[in-house]
Amino acid sequence: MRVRLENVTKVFRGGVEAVRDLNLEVKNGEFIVLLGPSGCGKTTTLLMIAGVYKPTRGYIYFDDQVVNDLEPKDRNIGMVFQSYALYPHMSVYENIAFPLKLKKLPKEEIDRKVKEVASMLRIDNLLNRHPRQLSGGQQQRVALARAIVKEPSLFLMDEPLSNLDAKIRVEVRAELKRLQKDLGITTIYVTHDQAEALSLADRIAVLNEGVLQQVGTPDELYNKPLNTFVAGFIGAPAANIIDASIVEEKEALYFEMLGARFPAPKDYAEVLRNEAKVYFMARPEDVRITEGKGFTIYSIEWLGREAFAHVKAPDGTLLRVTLPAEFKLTVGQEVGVTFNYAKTHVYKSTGELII
Amino acid sequence: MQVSRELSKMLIITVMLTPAVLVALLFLAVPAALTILISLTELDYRFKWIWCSLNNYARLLTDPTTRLVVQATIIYVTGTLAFNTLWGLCLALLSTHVHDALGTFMRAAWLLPRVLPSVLWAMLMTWIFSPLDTGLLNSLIISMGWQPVPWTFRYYWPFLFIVNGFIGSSLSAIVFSSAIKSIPPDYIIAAKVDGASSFVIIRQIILPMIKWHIAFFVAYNTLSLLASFEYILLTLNGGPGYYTTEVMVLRAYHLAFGQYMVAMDFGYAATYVTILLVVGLVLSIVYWRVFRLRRLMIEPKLE
Amino acid sequence: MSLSSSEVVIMVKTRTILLYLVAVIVALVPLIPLGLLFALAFSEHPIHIKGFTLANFEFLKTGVLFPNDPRYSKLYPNVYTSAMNTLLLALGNMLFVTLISSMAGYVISRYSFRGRSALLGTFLVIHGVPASVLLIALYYILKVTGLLNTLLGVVLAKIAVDLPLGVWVLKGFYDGIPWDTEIAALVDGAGRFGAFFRVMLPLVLPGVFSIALFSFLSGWGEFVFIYTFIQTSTNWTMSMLIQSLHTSEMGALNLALIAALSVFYLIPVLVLFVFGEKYLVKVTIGGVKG
Repeated sequence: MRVRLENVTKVFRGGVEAVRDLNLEVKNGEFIVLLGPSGCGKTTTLLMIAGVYKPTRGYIYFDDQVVNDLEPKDRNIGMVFQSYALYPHMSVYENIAFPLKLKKLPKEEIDRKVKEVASMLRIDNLLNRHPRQLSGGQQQRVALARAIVKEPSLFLMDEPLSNLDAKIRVEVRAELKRLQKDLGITTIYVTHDQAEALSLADRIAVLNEGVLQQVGTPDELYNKPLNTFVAGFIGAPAANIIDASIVEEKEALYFEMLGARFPAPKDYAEVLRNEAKVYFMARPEDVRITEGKGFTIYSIEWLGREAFAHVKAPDGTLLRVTLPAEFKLTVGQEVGVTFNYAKTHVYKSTGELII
Repeated sequence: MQVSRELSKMLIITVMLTPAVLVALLFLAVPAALTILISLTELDYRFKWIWCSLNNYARLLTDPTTRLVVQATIIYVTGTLAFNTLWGLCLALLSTHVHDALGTFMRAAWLLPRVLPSVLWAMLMTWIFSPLDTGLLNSLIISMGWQPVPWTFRYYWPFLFIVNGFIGSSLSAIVFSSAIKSIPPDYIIAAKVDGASSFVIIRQIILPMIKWHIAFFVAYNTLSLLASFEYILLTLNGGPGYYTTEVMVLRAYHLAFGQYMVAMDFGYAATYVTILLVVGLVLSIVYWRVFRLRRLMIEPKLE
Repeated sequence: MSLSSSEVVIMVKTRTILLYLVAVIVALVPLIPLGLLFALAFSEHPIHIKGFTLANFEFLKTGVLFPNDPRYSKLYPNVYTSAMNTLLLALGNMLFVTLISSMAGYVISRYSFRGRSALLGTFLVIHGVPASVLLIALYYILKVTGLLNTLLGVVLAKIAVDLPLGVWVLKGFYDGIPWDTEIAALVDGAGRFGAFFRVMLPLVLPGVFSIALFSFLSGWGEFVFIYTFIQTSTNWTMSMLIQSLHTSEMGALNLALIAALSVFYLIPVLVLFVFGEKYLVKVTIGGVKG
């Protein structure tokens, strides 16, 4: 099933604008992630798609049909919550069977479907237990089973992995992705964890303060962020976003930033000639340490596969830099810095991408 | 389609809320308004509405019994409040410093007088503290060779404080002990490690941390006590003597429903009650502001 | 002079023993009057506690008090009639308060609608001021609607008085259920009514029990409404019967009989209290928090 949001806006009682003018298209069978910090409107958007909230303006389409006024129960969606939201007074079997019971299916069919889904998620030995007797991971599988068993056209997931132990989270992530591919159901997934988004999504929609920032594949978002917010939000350790001034001297363009001067490469110079103040963005792996002066190694963290350092610039700013594991630098050492201009980006002072 | 979703929401709200609203309106809101109206009339056993505007209130000001009644009310409320709060605090502290099973048993035992039918509790108390020789205490005293004590004749206020206090202190004990139990144990452990004795812990840590609960209870209990009269009615009935324990609500009750020829004076009785209603309303609004009760009303998330 | 460690240990131990002793004594204090009541009910002497007999419970056979005295037997109604009235009042109060507040509490907790704050505030204010202030007006209303001197009138008034507490306590219980659980039910295919019956209501069952218990006991022990609104003795409840006996000459002549009646009246209360004490505590806390 395809989902389309057209100019969707949500204003709550009291004037709080949670979502503003959201336009989004979700393809059939796609795993799309709504990513953003707390309060950015991603859960509100999800609840509007679920039918719990009604958009103040705009339309939501399921397969070209406007569903704004459709009750949640008629939307044929399966939903998984951060807290799993299992019914405490029902057994695991009854929890999973609940949506089928509401559809008034015959008992044998319900039994068959429940057992099928339970074995798919490997919880068939837990059917008689109650939610409070299960671990977090087990509860999560039950929540998934309950969402899957009604064979919905759409999956909605609200940070389902946040409550799991970090170790289990990585394993479950992979399993979830596999499951979605096997079932082929369109999935809209909400999270604030950009690493999770990058690893799970076919496409990511980044939201901030109710406004859509950028939609694209993980690769597009990582390598070509369209504004400084996305640039700073995606990728860990975070990209360096540096205040810079464009200076022209003898027909050559320079970046004046960090208390030093960097010559701008030719393709940058063409586009930046008329700019004054910009943001220069370089990811930690695109910062090169060279022989030189002015910059000092401030701290080094060795992480096994690579090392992560903070480098202090002449104007006091700390740059985040990743180093290969076999680096030969010490804390306090004076170095020079240059950038891999093939991967860096420049943004206007208002945040939009220039190049 | 749009109309039907809004409509179904309205329908559910109406069906589920109407009974409560209806009952509250008919038997609570309307009587409240009615009381104020009645106080402006000379309504009595003839049940005729004769408007006399504020005459009843003027009568209130000149009536010599008014002073006695107000005095009795003030003594009753402050004394019982003090008993409820202080003894409730003692119970809470005691029950939380012993083993949980004993503490729970203690609070449950003290809850019992509150759960008993009022006539039984009143009857027991009047029998125990009866000033006659046949009262329980007195018969014990006599059997030991001493003079019987006229308990309720002479010590009527302490008597009433005890009778009502046993009822009220169970409430404060429960509230305070649940507040004490919710204090993070880290504070107590840190104090013990610092060498503080139990008394110091109680004074410096526990009491300040349940300040809000104590204040809230005092406010809430004051409001209840202003209009409470059932146990006074059942035990001393405003006596002994001339209006010694006749609180305002009891006076109103006697004026309206007493046995004597002066009874059925609904108009005059309603004046006392109206004053109490107004005071109660004002206090409630003050509490609303002071205790910021607005936060109890979190907006619902669904639509 | 500092104490040796063993002296300190003994000091602490005696202090603890003292503490527990005091606690046990304090805990028993409110039970003493109750014990005395039972002793008097089985007493051979009509006024003092002496001996043991079942004679005071003779009325249990037919319900008639003073069967041998022509004057008294006409003054007082049959005990079983009064007991039945008490039961009707208690059950009526329990059923309606529980039913109405389960629904109202849900709506107030979960729905946003115009006037919600005002309604909630009104219930709060009403809850703070007791019923006694409304007696005069209620008397008038009952007289005008012809419900004076009827059990129905009393039941209606009682329900109204206990309702605000019921709504507040149940609302508190509904507030405690996570939103996600209800949203999950809606997404799973239940309409709002379905979500209420299948998910929300089962989850607030402790609250429902608490209010049911509370309102039953409240009706069982009710006195003032009967005293004020009921004039015919056949409509009396046990509370009225016992009080009128107590304030008459019988109070001085045959306390043991009154004690026996009281024990009869008290048994359901004690049984319910023993089994439901923790539910009553929930109501108490819920009521004050509101």
